[in-house]
Amino acid sequence: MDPLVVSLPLLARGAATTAYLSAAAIVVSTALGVFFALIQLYGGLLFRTLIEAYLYVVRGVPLLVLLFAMYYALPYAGVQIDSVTGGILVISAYFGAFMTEVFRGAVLSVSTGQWDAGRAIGLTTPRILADVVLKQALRVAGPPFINTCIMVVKGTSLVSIIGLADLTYVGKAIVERTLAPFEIFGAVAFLYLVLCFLLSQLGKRLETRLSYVN
Amino acid sequence: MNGSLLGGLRITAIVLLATFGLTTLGGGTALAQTATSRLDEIVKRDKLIVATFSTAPPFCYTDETGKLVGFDIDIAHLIAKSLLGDENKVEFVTVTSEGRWPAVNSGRADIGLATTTVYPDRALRVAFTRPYIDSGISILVRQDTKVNSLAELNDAKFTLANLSNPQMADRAKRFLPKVKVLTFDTPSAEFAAVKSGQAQAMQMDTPVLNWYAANNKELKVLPENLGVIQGNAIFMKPGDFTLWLWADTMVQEMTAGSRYAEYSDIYRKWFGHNPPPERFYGQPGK
Amino acid sequence: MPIDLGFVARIAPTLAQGLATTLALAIPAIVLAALWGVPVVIGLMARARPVSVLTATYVEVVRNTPVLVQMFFIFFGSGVVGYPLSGFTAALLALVLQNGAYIAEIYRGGIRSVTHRQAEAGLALGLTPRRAFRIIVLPQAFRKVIPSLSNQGVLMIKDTSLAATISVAELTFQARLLADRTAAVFEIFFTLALFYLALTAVFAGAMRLLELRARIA
Repeated sequence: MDPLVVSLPLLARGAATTAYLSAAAIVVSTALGVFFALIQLYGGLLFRTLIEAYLYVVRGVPLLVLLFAMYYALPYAGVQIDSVTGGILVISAYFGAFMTEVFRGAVLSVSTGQWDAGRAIGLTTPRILADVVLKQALRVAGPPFINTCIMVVKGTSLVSIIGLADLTYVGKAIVERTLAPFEIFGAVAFLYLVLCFLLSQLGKRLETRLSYVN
Repeated sequence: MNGSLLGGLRITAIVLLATFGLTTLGGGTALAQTATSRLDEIVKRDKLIVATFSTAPPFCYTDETGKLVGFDIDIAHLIAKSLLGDENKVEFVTVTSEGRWPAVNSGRADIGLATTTVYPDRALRVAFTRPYIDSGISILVRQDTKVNSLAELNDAKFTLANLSNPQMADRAKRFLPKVKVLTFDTPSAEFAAVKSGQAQAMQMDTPVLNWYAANNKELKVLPENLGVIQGNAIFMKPGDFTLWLWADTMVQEMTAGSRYAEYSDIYRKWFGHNPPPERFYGQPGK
Repeated sequence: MPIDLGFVARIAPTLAQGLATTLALAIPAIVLAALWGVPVVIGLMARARPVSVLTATYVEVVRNTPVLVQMFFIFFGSGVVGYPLSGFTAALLALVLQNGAYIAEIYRGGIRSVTHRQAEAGLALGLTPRRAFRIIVLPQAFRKVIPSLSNQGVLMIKDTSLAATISVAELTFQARLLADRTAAVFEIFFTLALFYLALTAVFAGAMRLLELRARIA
């Protein structure tokens, strides 16, 4: 237990970095998801095709490869970006695709009857979307959205491979020094569990609040 | 017909003007760029940004409190003090083994001080100063392998821990073709593998291995070197002569000139003995 | 930036070696994870509380921790206890344990989605519960889960790229080494992305074929 107690401050700092990266990536990827989902549902053919291509690439290429491309290849194109910002952008771009699917699926899952009813009382499409469909869609989107957020948290662990001092990086460095993998990685796993548990609790809270609307 | 001819002339004129304009503009900015050096930026910013590792003791590693320490770190402080007057005017950017090149080439860091050995193929992509410390490549083994030479180690029952760069892979193939190889990102991961027994040997810079052996009685360094004479140097983006000249002059002064006293102190602190001797024209004052 | 195709041709052999290792890791991992999902889903749906709680805990732990941490844990942990596993074995184990849990959930969803009526109909026809399950529920459940299994398989193929950190010389590992040797990082990572796209496309295509055949049957 000794190496663990001594390493707690370091692990806490790593956890803070992971929390920050996750929060930023969740915000950006959600925004991207909403934006791209709207384009996929209502956009012109050109934009829809572009988004389809982006979704196809992100689904087929590992996040690690995208991170490497940002970290190693981008500097040769003259783009100067620090690892933290670059990492957040790449992770957001990657999970933005998952978010797009979540939101698009949620809107599509609302039965056409709702749309027809809205039109019957004279509402225009954007109004139907905002007042009638959105809340129902959000309720459907809730669980897969939280699942994707948890995937984002797990995805941030990959920045350890490009040298960012997140929880996984710190844990690995401590284990290399102390050779106590069970205590340290156990603590690391526990901290990730706590983060993801907090997220799912937040999700449940949001779900109950959304169902009050009706 | 006449209309299209006129239209064609008009387009040609526009294209020519545009190309001329762009080249003058582009040429102008290119000229402007070669006039300023990264060194001016450093002085203006009043801070030196150094790319380094965090996993290569005793050159650049983190201690238990997470603070970045090491020989390279202290050298960076010395350089900052010489240039900007204050040894604390340094910011460190920790990078991975392959990440050190993009770090300086992209402009993220001014220079790199990361226990980096000079090789000709690396010199194609970055500019090196002269070496600030001699180095070599050695093999560290566990005492319980009862191995005393490279030849004895060259056996399929042993596993060697390597760093993930091509020079290491090539050397392993050349000197220890029969051993199994595990490849890691960092020297500390190599060391952890050896200490836990997953590997019985590791390949790394001689000063690093000497430090590990001095701090771990169950490990020892084999007498043969894989790379006999090598040097670790400061590296930076190529093409900036002003920056390179200053950095190289700095190294010269540290290893053989006005900063030799401070350099020796740092050297003795981390390696326990004196650096290669320099000419003394007088006794240093106390 | 023009892509030098001659260069791509020259690095292809090294990358192909990495691809072979990726396949050698991914295919057994997918098969074993699909198999491992069976006892796990049985454990999840078990009537004995201790069994179901234990299994559920395992599933929750594995789903909320990054697979990278699991790989490190198994790799370094095995070394410290004195039975060091190779990077390949550790990566395989981590992938199977992590994805087996997800696949178990997929199985559970598939089984649940086949309505009770189907099982009742089987019982009405005089089949025992076990035979009803095997003949009626299982084939339909299997057909329903193929798309989700296909997704999971794609995720597993992509996760093999993480094995490079525990010294598995797969595709991404080889690409990194190449990127360090030459300065042509764009070409290398572009080719790397293409390799993965091709790999996942082939796999997804194969699973689609399987789904169509299952539907006809």
